[in-house]
Amino acid sequence: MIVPDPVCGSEIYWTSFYGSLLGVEKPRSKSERAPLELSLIEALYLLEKNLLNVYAQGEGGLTRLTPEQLYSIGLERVNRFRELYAVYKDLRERGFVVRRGLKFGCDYLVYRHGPGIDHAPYGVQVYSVDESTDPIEIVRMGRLLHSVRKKLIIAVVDSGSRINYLLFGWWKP
Amino acid sequence: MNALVKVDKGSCTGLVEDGGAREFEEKWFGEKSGDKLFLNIIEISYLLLTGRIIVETDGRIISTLEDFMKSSLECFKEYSWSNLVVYKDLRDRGRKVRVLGKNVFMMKDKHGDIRLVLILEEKSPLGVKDIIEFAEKSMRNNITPIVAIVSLQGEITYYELARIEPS
Repeated sequence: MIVPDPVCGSEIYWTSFYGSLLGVEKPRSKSERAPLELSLIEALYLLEKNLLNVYAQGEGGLTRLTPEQLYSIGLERVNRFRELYAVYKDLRERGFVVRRGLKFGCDYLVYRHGPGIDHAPYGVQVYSVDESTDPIEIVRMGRLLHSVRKKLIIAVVDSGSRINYLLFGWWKP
Repeated sequence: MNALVKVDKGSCTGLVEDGGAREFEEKWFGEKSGDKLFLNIIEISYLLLTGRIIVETDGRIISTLEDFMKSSLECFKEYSWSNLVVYKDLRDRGRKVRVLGKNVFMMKDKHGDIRLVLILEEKSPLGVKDIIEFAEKSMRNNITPIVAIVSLQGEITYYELARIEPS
């Protein structure tokens, strides 16, 4: 999802660190202006909050999407979208800044204040309660996060979108 | 002198003969039945590995794990090598460990606190629900849950689990 207006893009980014400013790896100043790239998950959250309008290109031109329509698109295009969105929304509602965790092999990095302000203490991996996982995946994430002094949380979403958070702390017997 | 353990292949347990039972029991080995102490297959394997017992089975005396495995293959059918890897690691660190189930141990950590340990293996996928249920069950009993994840090379990584509400 693109917010093409650089002024608007920058404003949305600095509201609470949503998305990525195009070509700016680590934005440092609010005066930096660039189009904003948002994930479907971030865009849906902002759309639900009435902080964004989302348009899709259709045969008859641009169509404004409802949150339900964008949610359906997410379900079609993103694996585990339901679970990922439930966790993203829950953590945002709890006041955290939630960023993608790709660099650390997990789904999200969670900040109390935001990148550049504080150190993200947690990496979060999202699962559906019906999923199975190779336990070594937990070790891979855990070790990578531990090497940068972060802890791993797995967030398990059940069929009613209730979330169980389980913290994995490295332990020496 | 090593204690003698008589192995019953039907139940895959070993009866500790007079002499060693009390010491083993104090160190959390075996399960008491009346005045007898029975070792399970992991305990027998570990004590053979560390040269603390000899085993009698089918009238033969065996002193190595290798020979025991050859002579009692059926007892190792449901056996996870990772369980022994974790059991040995914890025992070698001086911890008391009790086998509670197929892949669950109870142990006393270095501070004397009780922990439940779930053993997981690389390439043996586990339902996420099972990890949650293990953690919940453990915490309901006020015991801190631990997972021990064993790689294909036998390397163990331990994690302490805590259910949290991010705030």
